[in-house]
Amino acid sequence: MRASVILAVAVMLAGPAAAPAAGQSWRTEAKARQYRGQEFLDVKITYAVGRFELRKGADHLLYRLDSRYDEDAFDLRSNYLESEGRGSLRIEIDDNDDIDLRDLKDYDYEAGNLTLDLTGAIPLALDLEMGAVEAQLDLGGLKLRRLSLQTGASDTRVSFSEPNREAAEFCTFKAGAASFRVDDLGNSGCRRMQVSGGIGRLTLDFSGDWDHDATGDINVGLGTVQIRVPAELGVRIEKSTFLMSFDAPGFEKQDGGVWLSRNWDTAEHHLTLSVSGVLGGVEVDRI
Amino acid sequence: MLKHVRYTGLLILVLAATVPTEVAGQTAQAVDEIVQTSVALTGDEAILHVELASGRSLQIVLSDGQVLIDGDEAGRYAPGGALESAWRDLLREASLGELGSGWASFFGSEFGNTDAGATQAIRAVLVPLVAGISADAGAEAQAVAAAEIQEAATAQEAAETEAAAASVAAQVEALEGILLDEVIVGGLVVELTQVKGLARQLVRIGLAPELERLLNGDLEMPVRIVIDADEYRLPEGAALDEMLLLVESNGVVAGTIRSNVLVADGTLLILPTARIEGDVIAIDATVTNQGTVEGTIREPRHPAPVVVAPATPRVRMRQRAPSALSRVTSGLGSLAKTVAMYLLFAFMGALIVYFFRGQLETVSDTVSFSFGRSFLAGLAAEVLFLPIGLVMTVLVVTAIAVPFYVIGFGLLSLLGYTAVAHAAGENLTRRRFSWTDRMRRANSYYYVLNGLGVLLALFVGAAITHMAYPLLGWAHDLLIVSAWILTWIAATSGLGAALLSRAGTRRTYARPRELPELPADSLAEEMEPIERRAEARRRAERSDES
Repeated sequence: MRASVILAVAVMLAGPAAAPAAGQSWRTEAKARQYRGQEFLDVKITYAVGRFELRKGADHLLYRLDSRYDEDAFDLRSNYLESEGRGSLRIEIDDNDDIDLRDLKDYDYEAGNLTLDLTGAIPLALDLEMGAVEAQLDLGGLKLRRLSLQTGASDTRVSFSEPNREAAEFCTFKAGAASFRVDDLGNSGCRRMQVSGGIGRLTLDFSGDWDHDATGDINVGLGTVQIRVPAELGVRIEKSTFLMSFDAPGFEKQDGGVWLSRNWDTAEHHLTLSVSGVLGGVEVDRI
Repeated sequence: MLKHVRYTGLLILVLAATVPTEVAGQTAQAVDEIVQTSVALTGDEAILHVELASGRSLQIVLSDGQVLIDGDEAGRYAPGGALESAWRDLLREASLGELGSGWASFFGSEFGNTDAGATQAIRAVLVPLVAGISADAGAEAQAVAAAEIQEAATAQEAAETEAAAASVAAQVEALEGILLDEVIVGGLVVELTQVKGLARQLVRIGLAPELERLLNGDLEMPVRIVIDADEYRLPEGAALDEMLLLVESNGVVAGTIRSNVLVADGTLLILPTARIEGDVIAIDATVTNQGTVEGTIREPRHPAPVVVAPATPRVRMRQRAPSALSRVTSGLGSLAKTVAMYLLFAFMGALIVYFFRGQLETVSDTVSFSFGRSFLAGLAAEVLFLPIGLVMTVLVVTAIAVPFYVIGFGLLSLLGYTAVAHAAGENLTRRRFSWTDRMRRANSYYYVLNGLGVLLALFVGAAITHMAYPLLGWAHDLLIVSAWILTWIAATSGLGAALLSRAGTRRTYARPRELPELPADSLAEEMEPIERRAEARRRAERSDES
């Protein structure tokens, strides 16, 4: 993945100059596997450059992937193993060794794409690693037990349009130099969350159906964090920042860098966030 | 070609009718059910690959005017013609996971004479599969296929077909006789039973540990290697004592394997009756386990890179320690490098003194007067240098300024390091020389040269001790580490001071300008004769008055 990140940065550098290239050799690959009574699916995806879309698919298909990539520059490897009803799906679209970085400026890297539909019928563990990727992930309606999302220089939108049909133990979001937005986190069912951002803007929208309490660690290096929380949710924020502005209208400041929403004692469900960062700003909005 | 098609169709029908359940596997009724559909489309290729519940797979490739079914040419087509177009439409439908949805359109299309043979070949192998998805469409397709075959057959071809059918039936009978043996269709089988010599060679070239780790087993165990086989099948009741390696092959196991199985670039279906007593290792492969695997099913996260260690020479020569002469030479080389570095910095320092003396002195005063603050500021600058550069790079507006940012950072660092040398030289001068000497040596060139000498002295010491490494190795290591730490501290605090003083234009954190310090005793010595003369004059005046 390190090579992917280097490639991602190189592509970002070449980004404004990118233009459709004549020498690209596009390959379309699609795979669909029938759902045959599997009980669990572990999914790991590594995607270097392009557009990525993930969503809930038809329940009779375990998964369906559809990809388009330049076969001169990238390799697609997909592997499916199954044992005792537990499936393991690995998809990797990574740069091959033959790529010439000098040609990157001519790459129409945005034309490459990967679409993955996953079944909503069985529990899933998702592990996603992305380089310079424009990603749209709608994880609503899936049965997510675990989620790990790592991005490089990317523009990522994650949403939980429907409630998660499983209780997710742990959700991790790591964004590099990125614009990163997660909507309807209340639907995610995540009990514990870890969000870290290197450089850029993080937007975390905790809307959704809350039927549980949750905790989260939010860490950002350089950039701004916008946190949107529903008015009915009791929220506690523990702030540990350096050279970061903090703006939380409607919150009451307590001792020790703690901020509490006024309905903390009366709210049915609670969200506890620990926010840390170096340089930038934190905005907390009640919606 | 038509004959071949008919033989193929007939073979399928005969096999379906006569092959006993044991051969067909435990899931006979689901034998044609499609488990996975894979489609690949490029400018000159259109590939369909299906995996079946029975563990079999089928690949149909249209490439450069050729139709290949499981690697064998089954007909030709006109590139860009009607068949290719319909085939690509069918594959686009198949990419949605439903091979049957586009089938009716493909089956109902009319194709030219050029494509007829290839079309029939494709339809013949797909009809049973599609029938499994859509009974109605399948029944219709089978009826039409049968009608086509019947319509096209002449009397002579019919006779050939019957003969072929008889041949197939004979093969099936023979198959029944060897039911408990492996069935290997196509490919190359290599059996290594005497592998001790091979194992010894693997050990010699350093591959043995890697392979042992991967296979979790004994390298001297006999190995059955199946390469590029369309199908490898171990039926129920059969047992294999060797380790099984399936390379670019599709395997179906219903019997017992008493060792490990490695599948590379292929598929393996382990049926419910199967028992594998070792591990199953999959490399770029699909493994479906419905049976019993006593070991583990492993997928090396990345196929282990095979690192070939240098062959171990039979006679090992003990590596000789460097001679005293080479140590002295090496030490002198380090010394020369240090001197060269000193001269380079001295030259650049002199240029800075000549052109920017005021700024240099301000930075120097800042680092002397606010050392801690300067160091922290420099540390922060070093930490933030890369992230800020990255942000500037990502933001299109600031990307153009990145080279200036890097150059500016470098110049500030140079100014800072020179200023630290200046400050060190100035402090040294204050401590070492008397006031009069100090006045004589109080110039920035002298300070910078002296300071650089102080900063690089540890490197000189390290170079000298390197020459006597066996005796003073510990001192050399200590000196070289100390020298680099000192250099880093100097560079960091110098950078910080340069930033705090805005490249030497502000004295906010610098000590206030001082008047030259005049030591009291020296001043007294200077004043004594004057006072004595004045006293003598006053005494003379008093005596005159008296």
